[in-house]
Amino acid sequence: MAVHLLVIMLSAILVNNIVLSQFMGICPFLGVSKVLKNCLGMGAAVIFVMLCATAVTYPVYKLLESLDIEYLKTVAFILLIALFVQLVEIILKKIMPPLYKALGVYLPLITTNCAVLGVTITNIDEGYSFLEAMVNALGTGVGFTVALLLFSGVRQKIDSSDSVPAMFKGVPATLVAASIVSLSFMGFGGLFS
Amino acid sequence: MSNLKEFTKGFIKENPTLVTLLGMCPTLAVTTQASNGIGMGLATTFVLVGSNIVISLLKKIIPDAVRLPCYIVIIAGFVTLIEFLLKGYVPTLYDSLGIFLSLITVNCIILGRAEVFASKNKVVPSILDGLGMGLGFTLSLTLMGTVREILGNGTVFGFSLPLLNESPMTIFILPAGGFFTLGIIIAVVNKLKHKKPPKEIGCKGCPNMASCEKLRNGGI
Amino acid sequence: MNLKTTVLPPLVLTIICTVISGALIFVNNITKERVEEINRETLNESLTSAFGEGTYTQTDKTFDGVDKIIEGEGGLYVYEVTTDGYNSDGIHILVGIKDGAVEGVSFISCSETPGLGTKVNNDDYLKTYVGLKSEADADGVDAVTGATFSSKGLKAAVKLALAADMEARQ
Repeated sequence: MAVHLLVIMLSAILVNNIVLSQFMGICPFLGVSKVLKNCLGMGAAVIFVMLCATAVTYPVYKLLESLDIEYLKTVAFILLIALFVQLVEIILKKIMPPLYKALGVYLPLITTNCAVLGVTITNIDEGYSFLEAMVNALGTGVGFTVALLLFSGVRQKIDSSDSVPAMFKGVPATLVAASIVSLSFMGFGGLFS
Repeated sequence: MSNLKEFTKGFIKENPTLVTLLGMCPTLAVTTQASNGIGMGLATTFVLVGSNIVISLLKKIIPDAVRLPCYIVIIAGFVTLIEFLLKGYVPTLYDSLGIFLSLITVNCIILGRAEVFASKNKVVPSILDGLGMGLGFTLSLTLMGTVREILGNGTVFGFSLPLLNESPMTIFILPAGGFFTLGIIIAVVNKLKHKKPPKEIGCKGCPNMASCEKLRNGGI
Repeated sequence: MNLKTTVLPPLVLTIICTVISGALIFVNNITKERVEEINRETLNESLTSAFGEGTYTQTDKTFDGVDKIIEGEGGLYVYEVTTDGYNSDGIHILVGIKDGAVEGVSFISCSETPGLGTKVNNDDYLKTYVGLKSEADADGVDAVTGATFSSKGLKAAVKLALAADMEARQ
């Protein structure tokens, strides 16, 4: 059992990395990866958000399933996630102002980050149990953080380089660099079988 | 005249993918084949037009405080609708788009247009805006899909091309090739327009904009 | 207490949610039959093209991991199996088994990486499975270069069908 969970976790981090092989959460990946110290904060917030989103949506899916209206999951999930974020924001603001100050700026990201909705739907599609779903959410969040951290290093080199051709400066160069990082992650394919 | 402008601006001038750089996730993920690009583009156009109509009609009724949840629910409703239709009438496309069909819900192009355009304009311009933006998105997705399919699989819309299909560069239909192709296309588009490539990806209309912006400029 | 800021927002949101859910339930009821019909049609088409014209009836037998067990004519049994290739549920095939030996393997859908994983969906390769009688035989089939995961998924699916057939004939 423990081994099985470990495989789910490691697959989510390395083999099926959410950004580099599943193409979800590209916006924050390209947008925030510029400053190394923000990557950790962002990563921590995404992990927190993915775990909460999974914990909230999983039981709701079971409820929808028992009512035979599981096709409403997209509507239900996105609404739940959106409302949940507002709730957490209000509670944090009232009860723990210091934590709100630290995490508050990242929290709205929960709503429209496709990685968050993506992970909750993947958990359902794969037919995971609640425990497996939580482990997968954790792994996916960690995978996002790893990709972000690695890429911010690459990005600093490129942004400060003078040898990038004019037509590639900015986003095109970033995308080509992302392609090479993604290529290196392909090496993890076949790690588990 | 101005209506015509609302319609055509999405094609080139404000092309959502190649110029304002919105909706990157589906652009990279589903464009392994030209036909998938078209399918995804048209599905998004359907949702975009539908949600633009409803949001523009309801703009006076929806209170500002619950604006975002309302928009999201309306968009998700249209996404589920297109899921039903594809499942029933184009099952092969439904299979190949997979999870990215549900993820149209969080495509920032749609929420962006709702926020920036439909919530402030009348129905007819909103329809044209949605149609134009959607078709612009379809256009760039199809371009991506065609390039990747030709180079990565030696086929175009499923038809084999002589010479190229003998030893296609499979890397182009793998994730790494997606990033690479998009980077090259954006660079070429900017070269043709004699413009400097954008420094950052587009965030117009994305509800995360404020948070991202803060982080980008050195954090909290 | 200002009604406009306290009651109205949640009320509007609730109404919108209810209306949308209602509309979706309505549309689902219309398209549901169509979806089932499509599934039946695809299955029938695959059966006919792989194993020829004839009557196919779904049996009520079950086997862990096998979606459907279908009885054809002349002692032919067809097993519908879905397994993971590189993508989850990427391999969706029919395995026909007659008198304990594989009669034919045919894809219903192959949602694997185009150009790599989809190489297993090739008549010449699928023919290498014909005539195999046991799971051990299936182990001897070589994988397709560049499609390691899809080949593994395909092999697992055929083995499942063979195991199911073994049990069905006992």
